[in-house]
Amino acid sequence: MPYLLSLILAGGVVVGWVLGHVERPPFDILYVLGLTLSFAIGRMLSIQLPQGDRVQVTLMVGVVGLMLRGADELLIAFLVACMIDVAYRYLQGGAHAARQGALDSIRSIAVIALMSFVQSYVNPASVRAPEGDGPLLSVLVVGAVFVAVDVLTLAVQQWLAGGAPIAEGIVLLLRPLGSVYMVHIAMAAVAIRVHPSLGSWGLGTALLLTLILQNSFNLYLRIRRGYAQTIEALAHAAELDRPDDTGHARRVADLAVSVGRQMGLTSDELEKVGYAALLHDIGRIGYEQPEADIEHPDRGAEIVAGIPFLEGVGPLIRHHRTAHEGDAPRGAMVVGVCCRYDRLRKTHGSRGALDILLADERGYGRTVVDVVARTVSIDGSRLVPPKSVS
Amino acid sequence: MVTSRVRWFVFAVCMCAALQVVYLSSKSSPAQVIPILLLVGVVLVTENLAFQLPIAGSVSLSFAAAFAAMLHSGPIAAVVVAIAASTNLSEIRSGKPLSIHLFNVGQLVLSIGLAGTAYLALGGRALVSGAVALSDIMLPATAAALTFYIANVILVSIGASLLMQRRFLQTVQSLGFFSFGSSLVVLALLGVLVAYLLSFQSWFGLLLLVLPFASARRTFRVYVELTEAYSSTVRSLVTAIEAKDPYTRGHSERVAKYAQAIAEHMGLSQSDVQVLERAALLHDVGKIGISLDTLVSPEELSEDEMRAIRRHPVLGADLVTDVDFLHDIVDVVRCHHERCDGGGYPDGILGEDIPLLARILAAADSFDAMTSDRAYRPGMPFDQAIGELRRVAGKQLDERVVASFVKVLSDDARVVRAS
Repeated sequence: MPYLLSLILAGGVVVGWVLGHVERPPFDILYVLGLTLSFAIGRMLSIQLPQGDRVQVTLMVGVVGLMLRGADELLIAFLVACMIDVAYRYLQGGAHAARQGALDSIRSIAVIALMSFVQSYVNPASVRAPEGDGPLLSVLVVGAVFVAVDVLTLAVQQWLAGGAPIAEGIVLLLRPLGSVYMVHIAMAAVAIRVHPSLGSWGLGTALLLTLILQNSFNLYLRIRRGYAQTIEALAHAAELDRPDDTGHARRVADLAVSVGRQMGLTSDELEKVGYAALLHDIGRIGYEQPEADIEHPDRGAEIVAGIPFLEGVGPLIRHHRTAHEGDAPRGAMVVGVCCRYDRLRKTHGSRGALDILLADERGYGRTVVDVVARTVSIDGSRLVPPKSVS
Repeated sequence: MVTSRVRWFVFAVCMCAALQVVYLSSKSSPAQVIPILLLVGVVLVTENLAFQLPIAGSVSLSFAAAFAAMLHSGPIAAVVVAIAASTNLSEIRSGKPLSIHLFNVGQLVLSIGLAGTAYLALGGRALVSGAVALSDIMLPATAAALTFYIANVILVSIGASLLMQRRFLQTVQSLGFFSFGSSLVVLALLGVLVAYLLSFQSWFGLLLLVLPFASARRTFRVYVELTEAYSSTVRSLVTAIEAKDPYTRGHSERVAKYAQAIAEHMGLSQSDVQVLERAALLHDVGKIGISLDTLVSPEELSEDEMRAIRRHPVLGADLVTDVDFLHDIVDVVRCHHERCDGGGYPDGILGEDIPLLARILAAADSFDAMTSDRAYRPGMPFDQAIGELRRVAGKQLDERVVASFVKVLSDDARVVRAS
């Protein structure tokens, strides 16, 4: 891929310059081994993002390595660790997983190579024998730059692979990963601060604590993902009751989140809109028409009210058909319009559905319809599905 | 129950603790006030909720603070922090007997005190006493942590077994050795970092060290809440889906209770019980696609209708396949209508080939089906249903499972009242 090649090239140039101009400690195989081990462990404990992709964060080791050792040791260690990781992925998941791992490894190697430029700014003496808390600040700055470079290159890579636009991609990465990055930077700072007295023991301890804290975030992300998938599966199950309606909830959810995003709803609101759309018809089960039409918003809201994870989703479901009648949250209007659009589309086609809605809706509802019209015209009646609720 | 034996034990512990403190104060050098006050402050604040470390187990962060105090300022400082750690205002106000409060303080002080003694005995020194190399204190520090671990486990086990009149070994086992031990190691390491940062007077460094833990603690607490709420979330949604057929309202809930009771009686692991609970809640979601007429028909079903019903385990398994979190239950849901003699559906597998959890689920499912009212017949009385279970043991249902189930139903009134 040309993108990765250009990254590697740029990285190579930077590293070459750094190795030629910056003084560094003599090559020590023990440090390389230590760094390799640390990198390898860090890479194996990957984090699964809500969107589904896996990310590996070895920031803490990278920053510590940049501040304390030479770029040559660092890169060799990282290269070997990546090879171990790719081999491990191959054993676990076959060629496809290995390929994914290899692509990400190349990007990560390039990032470390690019970051080696900080070695021209960092005064090694002040880091290795600090008088006060000065090095802490340097580490924080280096860490912040590292995060910026890492996230940017990853967002660009995802965008080139057909994902979300770069700015949005950055937000989608920072939301779950922000805390993890913060932990890595903080622990790297502490590790370096205690390094003169605690040496490698201090580094090892800090790494262990980093990984434990990272694991706690990982568990949190995992359960959130569990919830999202479970709710989606059960919403899908609820639809099997009405075979003509299959896929309706999923389509409405995709459309509503896309429309809501364009209308400037916050990520919190978007998440609730997504769940409300998935579950808006769950109240229909057990009722016959036309009673179902009238009762199902209230019943759906009741069902959802008992689920803490879905706090705030109930009102959206309750008001999705009657949003214009009062002070309902604006997400309810979005869900309602999208639901009507999908239903009308079946009987009247896309254009017909939009015409009816334009005639009916007023005010905020009218704006929603306009956005819907814009969204669906991108690809006829089939939408480019955005990434799921994250 | 606070018996006189308990009171004597608490008295003994507190006396030993007091003696320990006197001994240590004779050995200690004067300490700096600010670091100790800082640690005491941290401990008072964080003692509101025991910080649960993600590796498992609930060990208070206070141990890290006390350990840090010991390394930095000496054992007496550690004791001061320990006293602060065990004085929990809300606990005192909760009205528990005095003995319990005294025990909490006494055992923590004694454990920390013994750790401090071990530290000094092996040549450990306080960081404030001058330049101390890591190699000097590594062995004493390890010994101290180990001493604390052993003393704490023994004291708490004796206390708990006296209080709850259980056997000592049983209490020790239920403490979760490994998780407690590993949490302790992590906290000890954290304490070492804190001690050194204190000795450098690096307040910013301490802040950087503490912030990630505060953040992780918040996240982990939400994780625990979400995990605990997961079952009830599934329950709520499944109840909504079950609303289709009025005769099966509450069915999955009851089957889950029966299945859990059987699994616990058979001594299965906690994680197996949890998998079974989820599988039970979701085992009939596949029925949602079957028309209501078929489900509640009072007459015999046609070929097509039977085929539709026989698809529901596969349909249910397909529905949950997409949830990574639930990948353990997929097979259980798929096989819950298999019979030991191979006459079940969808695959007709035999005996041991059927996952154990599915065999348990099958028993629970059959029992509830027999004892609840249906459109085509009223529910059987319990005794008759138990007789039916015995009759089909070995053929339709697993013998061991039936034996456990019958025992549970006969003994445990709670399970019987689940219906």
